[in-house]
Amino acid sequence: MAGVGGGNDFQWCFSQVKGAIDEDVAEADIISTVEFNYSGELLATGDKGGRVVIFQREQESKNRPHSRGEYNVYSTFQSHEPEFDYLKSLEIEEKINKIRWLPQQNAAHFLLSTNDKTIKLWKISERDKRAEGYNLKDEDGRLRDPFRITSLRVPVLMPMDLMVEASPRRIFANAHTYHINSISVNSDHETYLSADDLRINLWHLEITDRSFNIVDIKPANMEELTEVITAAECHPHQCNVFVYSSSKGTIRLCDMRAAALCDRHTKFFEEPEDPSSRSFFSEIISSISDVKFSHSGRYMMTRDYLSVKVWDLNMENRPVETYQVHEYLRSKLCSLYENDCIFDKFECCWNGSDGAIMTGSYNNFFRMFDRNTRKDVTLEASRESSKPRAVLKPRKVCTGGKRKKDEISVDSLDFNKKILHTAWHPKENVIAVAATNNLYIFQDKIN
Amino acid sequence: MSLENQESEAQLESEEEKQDSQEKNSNPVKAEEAKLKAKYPNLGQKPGGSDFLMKRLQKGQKYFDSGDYNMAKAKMKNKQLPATGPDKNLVTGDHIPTPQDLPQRKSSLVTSKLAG
Repeated sequence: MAGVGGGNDFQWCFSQVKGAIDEDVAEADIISTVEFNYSGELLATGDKGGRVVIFQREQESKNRPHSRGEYNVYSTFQSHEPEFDYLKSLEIEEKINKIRWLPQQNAAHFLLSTNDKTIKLWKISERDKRAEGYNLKDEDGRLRDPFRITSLRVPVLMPMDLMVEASPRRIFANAHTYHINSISVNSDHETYLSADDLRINLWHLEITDRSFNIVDIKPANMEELTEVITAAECHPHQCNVFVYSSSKGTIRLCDMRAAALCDRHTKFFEEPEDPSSRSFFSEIISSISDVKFSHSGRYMMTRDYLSVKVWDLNMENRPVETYQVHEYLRSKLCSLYENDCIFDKFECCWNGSDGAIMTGSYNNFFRMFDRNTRKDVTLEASRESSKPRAVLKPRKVCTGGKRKKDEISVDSLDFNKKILHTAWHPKENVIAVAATNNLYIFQDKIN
Repeated sequence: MSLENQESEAQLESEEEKQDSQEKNSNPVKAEEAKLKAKYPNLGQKPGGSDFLMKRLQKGQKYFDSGDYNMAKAKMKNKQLPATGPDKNLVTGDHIPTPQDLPQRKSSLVTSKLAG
């Protein structure tokens, strides 16, 4: 069966699942972000409880040539705590909204994690040696009496059990009045941007007491507010370019060389709307929940409620490709509005070669689109198909009257099982899918 | 009314019905919109606009007036003030919140189950 992501005879197989199996999911355990690092060796997750868990891929061993390296826990730490802003009477959730890795420059790994208000730079380093034979202190740490010391010795480095330590190196706080939805590391590896509903700030990774405001769409009179910023990202190669998307379904590309305050966009991407299809829901379902540049930097992808669109940066008036994620939901918009599902923010991602894209849906389904063959597939992250190396069977949602044997009808979909966060390994066909409190890892079948 | 008129009226009605169902089939979104408007007739003159955006911006807002709280505590010796209802999360000016009512803001000291 032809699949998506790597040509013919391509199939996805179950590899691992992390997390508890119990029915009762604690709110804190809900995964809120998933991100591979630049090499794909590390996979980070953030949750609603403010915790970060990092998995590391084990080296491929000669003993088990059929299993590509598995991801095992490398480090876990509490990144953010719940806070209360007494001045504004505002409760600040500890939920990790986004994690972004910095490119690796030395033995340590660095990542940025953010909640609604504060961004933190974390250093994750390994310690596998310990110095022994100090002059001024005992083996158990007690200070020795300096007058009793009669000889000098050189401390020796002795091996110890590997310890992975995470420490907060920078805390970037107090720069956002509204809720941070995005962070993005610049290609210059020195700066990064953070975006909230109305403003975007540019930071230097070394400087925490100052940031530059580069976009401000707050109207003078809040009654005139018509749109908010929903996502922002730096261009992967051009350090002066970034984009931000809005709740009205538009994307603005800005060039930081043009002005200090990029309120005027350099490019404006919007697909013209068919006026006859305008409804109460139009604006809500056009709101862009995620924007991602392709690795090449030539394209960008946006996710709105029902579709994923690929845009050529050289063409502003319409996307070059549009993929329907779950068009059958169009006839369910009323109830999706009532249960707030219409406001769910789905993310999307590219594969390493930009040849395929992936995004989540409901009922623990996720969708993949092959840009070259135009084939698409719907797969499910479930415990039922979680035997090692079990091939995932494509799923189909039936919209009409007659339901075929393996299909599921729209009315049977579980809207509480949403896949909002997915990530694709930067080089290989390995994907991480967050299904509420469980993290699934799938790999391509090794033939 | 003559028989002819009755027949033509009946024809008109069934034609309208056909048109309606055709519209519904060709535009499910319009049908959904009609459903929503029927349920909530006062819903938004500005479709998906300011109200929903303002709600998004105000996420996390909790109101607690320590002045009210302390004044009420002082008076409470004599009167029984209305206590909180079943929805403990909504703390408004109607009743006096007590420390037990306010949701606990504890951080999760438990390690994530993903690391288990």
